Amino acid sequence: MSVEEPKKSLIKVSELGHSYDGREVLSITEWHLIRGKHQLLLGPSGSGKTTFLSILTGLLRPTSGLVSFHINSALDISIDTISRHIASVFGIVFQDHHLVTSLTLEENIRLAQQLSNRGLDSGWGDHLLEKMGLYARRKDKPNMLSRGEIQRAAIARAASTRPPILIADEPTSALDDKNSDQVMALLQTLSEEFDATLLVASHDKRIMSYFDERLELKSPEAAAA
Amino acid sequence: MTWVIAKLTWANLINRPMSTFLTVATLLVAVSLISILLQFTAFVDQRLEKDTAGVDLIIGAKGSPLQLVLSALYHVDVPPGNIPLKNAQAIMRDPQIRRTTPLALGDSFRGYRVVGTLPSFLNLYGSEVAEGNVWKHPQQVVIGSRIHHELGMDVGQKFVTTHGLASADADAAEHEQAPYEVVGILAPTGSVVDRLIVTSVDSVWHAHGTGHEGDDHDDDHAGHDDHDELIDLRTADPTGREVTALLIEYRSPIAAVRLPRIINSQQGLQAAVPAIEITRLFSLSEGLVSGARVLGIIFVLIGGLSIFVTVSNATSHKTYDIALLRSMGARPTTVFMQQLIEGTAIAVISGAFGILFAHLILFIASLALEPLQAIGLNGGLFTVSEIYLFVGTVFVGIIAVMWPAARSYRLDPIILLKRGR
Repeated sequence: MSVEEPKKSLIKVSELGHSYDGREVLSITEWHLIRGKHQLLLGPSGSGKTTFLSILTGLLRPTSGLVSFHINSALDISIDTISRHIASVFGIVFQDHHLVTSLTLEENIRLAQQLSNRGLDSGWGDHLLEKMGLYARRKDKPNMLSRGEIQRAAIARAASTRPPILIADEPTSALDDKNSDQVMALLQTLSEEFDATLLVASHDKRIMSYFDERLELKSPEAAAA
Repeated sequence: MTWVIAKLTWANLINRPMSTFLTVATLLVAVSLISILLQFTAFVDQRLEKDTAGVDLIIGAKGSPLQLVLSALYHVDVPPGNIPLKNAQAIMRDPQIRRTTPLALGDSFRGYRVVGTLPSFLNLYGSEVAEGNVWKHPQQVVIGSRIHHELGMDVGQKFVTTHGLASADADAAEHEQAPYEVVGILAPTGSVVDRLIVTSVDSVWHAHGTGHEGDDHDDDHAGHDDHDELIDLRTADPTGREVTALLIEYRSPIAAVRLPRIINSQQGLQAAVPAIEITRLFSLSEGLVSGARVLGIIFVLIGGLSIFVTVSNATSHKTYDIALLRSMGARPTTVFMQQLIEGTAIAVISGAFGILFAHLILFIASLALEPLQAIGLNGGLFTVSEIYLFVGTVFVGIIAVMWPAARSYRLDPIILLKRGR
């Protein structure tokens, strides 16, 4: 666990704990997501990665502890209101279900931009699709694409609003080494292109080298041992 | 946010075309069925009022009163027989009668009936001459708009009628000795007049060889053709002459009590009240109409259920899409509204097109089925009840989609992160 200079923190967590039915599943004394320093949440299944991401994105209220967001000099957000800013603060690439199935790739990107408060930016959307090698397929719906193409499209969709924090949940879980490297390289170069900080939750140790920082989470059994 | 809702609604509808089509079709058929029933009942009410407006009573030969009304008013049945002109003249002179319109039926031209009558007959149907004039002399006719279009007949054309009303009767005798000439074309009315050839009563008599013989004309100037003037039916020699029916308008309501009784007591005559006969005719189909109406309502409810199933299934399939939308910043109300609008859109499309479809069906049916055309049931009648039907259909659609929309509203996007764990 690393502790950095608080003024550069995008997210600051202290004394965070969460329990399900009286069983503690997450306990973090202090943690910061530093602007520009990509971070890996590493841990096996059941170690609390999902719970932690859910709390960070405002989808889950923690049992105890403090979480604060300092997005820029004009925007400080508390854990109580972060869910209202989810579209403008986070771009999230989920493990599955990457896109709205009834819309084309282009429409998925347009939709994400419409739902954020940044508005439409067709040029940026087209650039992302080109960067992902999907511009020629922008009129296709997700069911016409391969799994790899869908995942790249999801990265484009998550980046389409230029969020300050780009989250990826198990982005390499089903990929071989080559594709895993490709996806991580894309995430890294893309986040650097629009000054986003990358936060990846994974159990995949192959990707550790891509990160400046990492938070290792342990399963409750391992923690107890 | 409007763009987002509209885009998602459209995308969802076209993403499952067969499912959307079947849902719309189910509700559309139900709405169409009810719309046809509404048109039918409204038409009957309107028609009763319109057709019997200037005709309080129909007098004709003894027989079925309904047959008399159908033949004399709608020209869709064979008349029960003829009545002597002598009797008709006596009735015409009755002071309780404001107007008598005599009819001489029985001939036709290529299946289109010839009606011998007075020019005032046209007023009963609100018919006007669009081209040419009303007949002024014997053997002159005006033709209905449909005859003008279908047979290509025009002003100045001459033709010979045949005895009988059937178009396919090859053995029917032709009245070659009394050819007719078209002198006028009637404007379309949407009523049976569009399919009639209308002339004077004595023209029909002349075709049957009981024309001007023995009549004293007012014109006694030398050299004038005896057969060139119309006969005054009130003063014409009644010997051997008949008319088919008399359309009667009373002078006072008291006549309604007295006149039918007097007429029916006379040998060979009957008086039929059109309002009663038509009501009786339509009352025969009342049970059928009520049954069909219940069936239509059941169909609408099934249509509503179909929307519920379609949108519920779609919601289940789209659970992760909806969660993804929420994770991208869509508010619960946005998701709820989108679902609500999707169901409402199906109901609006079904309701609007169902009503239009019903009118189209009746229009096509009226082109193909002569009886519908004759009575003027052609899909052109839009009723206030259809607005209620449309509103009701939309309401059913909204109710049907409430539950799946509420499920979407409550959906927690956290399922996206829990997936696969």
